[in-house]
Amino acid sequence: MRTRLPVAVLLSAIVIALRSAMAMASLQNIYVLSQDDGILSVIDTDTDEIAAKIAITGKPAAFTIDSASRKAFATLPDAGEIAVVDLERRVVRSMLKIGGQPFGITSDNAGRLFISDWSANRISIVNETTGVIETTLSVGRSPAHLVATRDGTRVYVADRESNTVAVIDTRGLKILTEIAVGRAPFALSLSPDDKQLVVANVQAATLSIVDTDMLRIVSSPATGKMPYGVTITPDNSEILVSNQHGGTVSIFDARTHEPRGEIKVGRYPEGVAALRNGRKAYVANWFSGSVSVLDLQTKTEIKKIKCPEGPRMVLVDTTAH
Amino acid sequence: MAIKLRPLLVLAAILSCSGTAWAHGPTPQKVDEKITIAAPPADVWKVVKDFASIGSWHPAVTNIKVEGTGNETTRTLRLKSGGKLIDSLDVIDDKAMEIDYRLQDGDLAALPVSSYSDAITVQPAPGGSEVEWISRLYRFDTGNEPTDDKNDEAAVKASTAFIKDGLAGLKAKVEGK
Repeated sequence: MRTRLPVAVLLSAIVIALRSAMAMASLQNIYVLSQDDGILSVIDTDTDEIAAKIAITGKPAAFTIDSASRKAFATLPDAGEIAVVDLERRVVRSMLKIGGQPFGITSDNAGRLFISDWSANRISIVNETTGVIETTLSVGRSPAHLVATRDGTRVYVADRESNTVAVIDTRGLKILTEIAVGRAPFALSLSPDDKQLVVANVQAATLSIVDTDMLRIVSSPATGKMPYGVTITPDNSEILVSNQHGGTVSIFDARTHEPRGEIKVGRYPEGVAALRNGRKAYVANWFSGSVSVLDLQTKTEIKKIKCPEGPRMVLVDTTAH
Repeated sequence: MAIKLRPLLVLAAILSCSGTAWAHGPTPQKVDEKITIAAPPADVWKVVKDFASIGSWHPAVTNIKVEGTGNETTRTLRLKSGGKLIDSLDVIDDKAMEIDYRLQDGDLAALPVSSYSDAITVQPAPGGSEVEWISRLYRFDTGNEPTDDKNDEAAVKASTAFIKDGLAGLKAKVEGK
């Protein structure tokens, strides 16, 4: 009895681990949002083909995935609405009418959305089920993208025209501080351990790399021109930056912040995301209407996938099945 | 058939003019224009890569001032319309024969845009070269209720005309006509 139980527990643990590892390997999807055509495309990362296209009425600019509810939320700046997408059934389930000019969006994975309003200079905190705005917080001018920590306790906002990043305490619902970064911060990304925040400054052509404990910039490496998208690989090894001018993705070591290479992609690349195993990354080429698939080991582009027009944002499905 | 379709077309026209169909948000717009020039790519590129040369081939440009060097280069264009555009240089790629620059400052008299980033490339083509000039731009008023002179359509129309005129001027200069 004393020995049998641990063995049984161990065996079942191994089986569960194997199952989830296999599921993770095969079920990872990449989502690409095309603004002009109003389509959220689902890319099967085994075949690197578009597996499904989810139509969203209007011109969706940005989206986030709530891994808990298996829903995606896309902002429609001109309509003042948020499209709620059921990722299992691959349909738009409802629209949240929040008004204003919603642009960037992130989820605290606990039922709340944080949404920037490009022209009202504020963040709305919205109940993702009811669409009710719980409260708003004033930030800098033209807040663009946002990112939430894994535990949802903090949200970082790139305030493009103020050259700052606002740090929101999501429990106290207050701005902890505003960090001065380079000119025109637009996209940002958190490391998997939430210790490092990387901000891409479009006009300055630099990254501002922030230590999130100290809330201080520790490094500001130069990128290509007009860096519009950034991500840290899920294995925390590399930072990928898309440069609209020149049409490249720059790669930096996530620890030393030294440049590790550059890959030529399509025209005016924007959103970028990497798979959990760190082997491949996907970048949306806005002008070309395509997604470049990058092999991160060889640092080459291995495929271009034609996609609906105006692709701007890419996310990997973060759900562990 | 034509008669049957007409009511539908009228209905479509009414629907597309009402409600949110024309209310645009901060959606970047695209212009993509090309021209064929009867000259070798290297000769065309020599002109295109010179950030100051636009003053000698764009018919709308009356005066140009170039300041700074390397990554800090800017050019101030005075236009026939009385408008002003200040561009800052980003990339000159000799291998790809591509020059990239963006709007640093401008005004409504020049172009009804709030920003643009442009790329001009030269490629070999039958009969000489093909020059492609692409632009990613935002309308002048990026709010949700732009007037007709500051909306997406106005921005794309004026930018397309500016780029087409420029390409025609470049062709005339390089071909020596």
